[in-house]
Amino acid sequence: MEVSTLPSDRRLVALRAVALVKDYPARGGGPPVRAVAGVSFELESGRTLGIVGESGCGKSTLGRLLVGLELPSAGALEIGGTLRSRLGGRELARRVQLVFQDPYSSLNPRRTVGGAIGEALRVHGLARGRGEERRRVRELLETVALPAGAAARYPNELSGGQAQRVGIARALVPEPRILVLDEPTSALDVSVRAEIINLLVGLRERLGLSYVFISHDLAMVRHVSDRVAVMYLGRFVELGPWLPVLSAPLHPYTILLRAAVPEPDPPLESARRVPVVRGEVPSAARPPSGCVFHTRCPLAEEVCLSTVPDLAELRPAHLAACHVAARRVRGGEPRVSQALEADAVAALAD
Amino acid sequence: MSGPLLAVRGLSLAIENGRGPVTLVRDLSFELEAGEKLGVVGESGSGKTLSMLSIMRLLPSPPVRVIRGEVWWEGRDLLRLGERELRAVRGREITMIYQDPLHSLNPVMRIGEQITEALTAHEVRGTEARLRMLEVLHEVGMPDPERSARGYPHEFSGGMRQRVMIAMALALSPRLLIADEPTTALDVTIQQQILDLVGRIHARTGMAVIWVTHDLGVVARLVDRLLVMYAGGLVESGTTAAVFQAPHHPYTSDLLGSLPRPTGEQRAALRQIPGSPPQPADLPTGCPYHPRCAQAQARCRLERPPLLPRGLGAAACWVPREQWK
Repeated sequence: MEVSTLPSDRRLVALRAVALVKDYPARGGGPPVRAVAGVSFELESGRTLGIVGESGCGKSTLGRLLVGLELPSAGALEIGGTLRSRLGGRELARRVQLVFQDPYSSLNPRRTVGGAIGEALRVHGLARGRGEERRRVRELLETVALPAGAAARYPNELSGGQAQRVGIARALVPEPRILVLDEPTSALDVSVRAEIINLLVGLRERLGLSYVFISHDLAMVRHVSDRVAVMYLGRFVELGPWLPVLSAPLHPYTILLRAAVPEPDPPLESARRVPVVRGEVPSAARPPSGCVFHTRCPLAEEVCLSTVPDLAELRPAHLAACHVAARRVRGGEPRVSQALEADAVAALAD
Repeated sequence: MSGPLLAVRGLSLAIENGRGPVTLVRDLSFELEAGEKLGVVGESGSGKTLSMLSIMRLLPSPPVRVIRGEVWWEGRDLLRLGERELRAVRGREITMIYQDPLHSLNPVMRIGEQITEALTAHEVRGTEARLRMLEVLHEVGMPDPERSARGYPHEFSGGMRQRVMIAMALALSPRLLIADEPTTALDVTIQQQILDLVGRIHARTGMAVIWVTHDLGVVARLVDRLLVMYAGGLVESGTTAAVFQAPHHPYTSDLLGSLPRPTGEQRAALRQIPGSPPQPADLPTGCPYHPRCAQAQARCRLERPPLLPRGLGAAACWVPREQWK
């Protein structure tokens, strides 16, 4: 939460992405689809970077780039101080692992929990002999708070929450320093989500892990993240410490996204006017000119149609890619976030 | 006619699983007033969707069947209506929209034709049907209704398809719309467009709405009154404001405590609920929530609590809120 400005006080960087790009060939020819369009960030060791965005924004592709399941079309990725391109498969796996959304689909239905974790141990060359394998399986199950008896179970005998614990245990097999968590609670029943989130938060502290937490669920991202990135059409449109990004957002997309999330609080809900964003996310195959959000933005001006805004540091450590916000912040306007929200509400109320 | 618009009484549903019937919904009773917006909240397996399908007599039967119960609508029990009488109610007076519009739209038929067909089935024909079709497409915010009408379902986004479903549901000006998780598969900005649309239609037409969801935020934004379901039974009912402010069932209370909030300056720890929802074939004795409940007492393990008056609402819990730990 505290963001130090002193270089000597800086934490180690666990992960550094520089202008990452991922293109996919378009179906039936045409220009490639740019799923990730130049994303840069640093993940400090022991911290959680939350990435929030709607479907098609490129957040899952970005997650796959970070763990090496996909190779970037351009840009660089540094993991624990080494370029990803210089890391072999096993070495990469020991630095960063992915936890999937659907715990069942990532488990072989015909293999017991112990068998699945044991196989991962053998793949990574981390168990010498049956005895050591069994001991490690037991330890890993204990780490994710599953009883030792769970080793003999098959995936279909597990509840959703238990299956996701197994998914986490398997990701922890090569003792990675970083976990990329792609919607780790979205497939779970509401009443078991808190237990998985609390487990993840505890593991990060206990094992000194760093997280990239990817989700469409803004409330969950807000709960677990030190810093938050908001993604739209392959780009970070806003990035910074969780509190200013989600309590005083500067990008109109973040403002509208946050307002669209209903809060389990009836008096609060009945008191507020919710701005309704126009239209839908454009195709990544034909992104709009200038600012990619301009087609839906109630505050868009002439410049937004022609010029791509920089992701600029408008407040300390708080970056946003918006011409309007940048001008108003730099002009010294007080409470820009609230003013932008009020303007957006007014512009959308017709 | 006075009295509620819809009254469900003692509805129980079961499925045959080879070893005998398994109860999926147990003794569900509730009423809905004309023009009311009612939320039905529950997790997967709580029985919320099956209950709504049975009101519409759309249950996959077999294997699921109604064991007991009545569904009163305008002085008639829908569960005992002949197929012809039922068709006059279903689609015309009561309509339903679902999570996945693709399942209920015909993929090889233009959406305009599908809406007109629905109208024709209820004796609205020719030019009148066509005009009404264009009117509802406009009402739900489809861009260029003439052109949209000529499109096929796959040519539209998920949000647009849900608008088409709502258009079809509204074509005959129903008195009740049952919406089963219609925004769950949609992005949150598109969800807000749909919530806003339904809110506007409700304000203009006064149709009653039953909104089925697992999302407590959505019901806080949309509905006046709330039913909370767990393991096939109703565990709490009351006005939305009262249920959120002072829940009388520990499940409701635990669920609210387990949710992260999207706004505010503070982050509170999430209250964790042990275990997971039970399987219908493997329900605990007594109160189905007791193995997960911090308030459970000896009686809760033995006797299933009925819905008891609590506060201004009701809750199926033996332990009054004042005695909670």
